Amino acid sequence: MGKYENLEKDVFSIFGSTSWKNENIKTFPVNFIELTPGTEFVRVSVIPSGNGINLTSISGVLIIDIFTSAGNGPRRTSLIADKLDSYLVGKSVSTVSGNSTQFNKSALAYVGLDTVNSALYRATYSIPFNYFGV
Amino acid sequence: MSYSGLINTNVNRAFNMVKDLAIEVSLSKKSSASFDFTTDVVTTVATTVLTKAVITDATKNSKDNTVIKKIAMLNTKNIGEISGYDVLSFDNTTWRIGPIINSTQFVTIVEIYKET
Repeated sequence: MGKYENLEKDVFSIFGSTSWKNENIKTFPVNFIELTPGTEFVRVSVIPSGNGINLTSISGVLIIDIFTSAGNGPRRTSLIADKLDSYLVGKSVSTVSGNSTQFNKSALAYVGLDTVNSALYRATYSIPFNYFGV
Repeated sequence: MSYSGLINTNVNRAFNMVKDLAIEVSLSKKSSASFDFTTDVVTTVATTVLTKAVITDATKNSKDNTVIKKIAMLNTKNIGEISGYDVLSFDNTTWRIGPIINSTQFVTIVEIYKET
């Protein structure tokens, strides 16, 4: 497998874990159409756009759009961002022997009402990562 | 009879009166979809609806003319809600559902796409 697939597997393993599923936050990847997303969900995008320390490594940003019900204030967004922090900040994940993905510090940007569905409020959680391949 | 019932009856009548301009189509509707982060697999459940559609406006859409776009008009009551996962089949060809141009409780007009 190549670095992009391995990186995706590392990141997705977090959201496929039993502990994350038990958080009961609907989670979807990009390029997936959820037919009944509801009023609270997160959408995961892995953006491997930076340099790596060698040919099999790469860095980038994990972007997670947080959608919550519009008009209810920012608290729920903050709680979801804190939950994401507990799974990601400073953590290292490895699904393939010898490789690993390390996450750094996170940031949260409040974007505003969703342009497609104004019943939803969107915030963007982002966290840089380094993927190390061998 | 209610006004909406009256209009629905006449929409059905209109699809029949245009004779062969309205063709038999099969709409495969996805009733549920889920993504498994562990296996990277999308699972969908589909139901099939047979209905009539008026297909118009065939255009080639991309710079290299490899994408054909058509406009389909369907009876909303027959098809219900449609999504980007749904596919429309007619003349032994399958078309992806694109953006909905207009949808009322009576008629849905939608773009459909396929590669040449």
